[in-house]
Amino acid sequence: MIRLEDVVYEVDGVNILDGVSLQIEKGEVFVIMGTSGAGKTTILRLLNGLLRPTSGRVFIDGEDITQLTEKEMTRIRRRVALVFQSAALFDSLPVWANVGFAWRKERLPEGELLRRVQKILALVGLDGVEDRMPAELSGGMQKRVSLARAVAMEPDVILYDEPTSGLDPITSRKILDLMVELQNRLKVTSVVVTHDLQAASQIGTRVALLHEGKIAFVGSPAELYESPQSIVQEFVAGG
Amino acid sequence: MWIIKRLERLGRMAQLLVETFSLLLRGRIDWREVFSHMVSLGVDSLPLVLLISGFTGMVFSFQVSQEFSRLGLASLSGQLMGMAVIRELGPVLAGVAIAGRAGSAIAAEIGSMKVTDQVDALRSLATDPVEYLVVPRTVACAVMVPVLTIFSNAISLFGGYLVAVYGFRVVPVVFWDGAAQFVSTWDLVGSLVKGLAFGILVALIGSDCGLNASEGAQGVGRATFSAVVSSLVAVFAADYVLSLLWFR
Repeated sequence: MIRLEDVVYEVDGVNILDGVSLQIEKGEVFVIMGTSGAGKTTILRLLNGLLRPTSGRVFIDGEDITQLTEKEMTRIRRRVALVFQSAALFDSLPVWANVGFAWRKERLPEGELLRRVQKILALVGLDGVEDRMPAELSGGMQKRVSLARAVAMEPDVILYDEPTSGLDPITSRKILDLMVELQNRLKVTSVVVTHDLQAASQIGTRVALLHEGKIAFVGSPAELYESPQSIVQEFVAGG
Repeated sequence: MWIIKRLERLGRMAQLLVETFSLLLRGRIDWREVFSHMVSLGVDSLPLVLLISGFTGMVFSFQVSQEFSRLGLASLSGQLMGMAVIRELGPVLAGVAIAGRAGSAIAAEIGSMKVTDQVDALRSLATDPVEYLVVPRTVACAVMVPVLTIFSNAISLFGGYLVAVYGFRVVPVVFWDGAAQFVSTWDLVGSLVKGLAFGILVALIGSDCGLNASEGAQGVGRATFSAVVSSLVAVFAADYVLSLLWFR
């Protein structure tokens, strides 16, 4: 279970997050929506320990990760994988090395490593791209490789930052289907940041709407559409 | 404000130095990465080191031999060349070449990783960026710059020898005997120690600039520029300090 308690994140005197409290249950797909700059990505980075809150606490399975040192955070990061909006693949490494990065220190025999990589790549619907460099892949393929790299960590939680941004509708649909399939197969907890209402309705068990650093709404996708709150209606109408 | 920023940077560098050596002492070294960087940062810098050192050795010998010839002391040019090259020119020229080539390469590579989220991706994959990015480059530079210093010393002396012997009719044996007479084992070790220090400084400064690059292509450009300038200043400052300590 993930819990944020009155989290404030301030940059140069501006509160990006202003007292955010959330609870995300094990195994659910929790979607965080909001306009650009609302602080959605900041929440993911706080959950992965890439950022520390100015105040407030973040709990992963009851452990307050805001109190952990950078070294102690590596233990949490093995369980909480982040799929970056930009894919953030290591551009000097081929696909197999990106996906197998989590096993880098295990010094696996080449055949075994390749077998594992191919298995994970098959899981995200990619085949025969092991030796390609990230720059040789399309945007959708890069997102899949990035997802494969996260899955290779065998995490309990996967954080997705705008998984469909910059993709055409067909590829977006494929990525969302893949996320649902992975969710069913791996039984992980997923936290998805997006501003795509359709995507949120398709995959989310619950949706939160973030507005000016505060949580404006939390509920099911159906409740989002029916909410009488003006900010929610405005967001839904805009979407 | 300027002073505060510089002090902040010095503090950051000291922290990076401590982290890097702490990882080194615990044996957290990826040797495959080290060998790969030894080639890209060290071996590939050799032509530049040879060119810079060769020409500088020739120019230095020309000036020295010309003045000494006027005084009828041309035979002493080997002695002065030997001492100047081994103690100062060889290691400093290797340091300058590595600051320009490796310092900029390290800052640009790590800087572009920083601005494209790759450094954060490393952290999110439970990997310490200092261990993965900084330690291998530091070890590679610490090993390769002393090796480049040996080449720099040799080519500078050889360039100086050619000018002294063929330009000012210094007897070859006299040149080499003079150089050998004025260069001790202590000087040779000092030369390598300087190379080692320059290598570590350039790698750490380049890494620090890269890891703290601000957003965008401009940020990477600024980090690269800053790495080269700071590395050059650090090489000359360290040279002065080490000369005082070693050759006193």
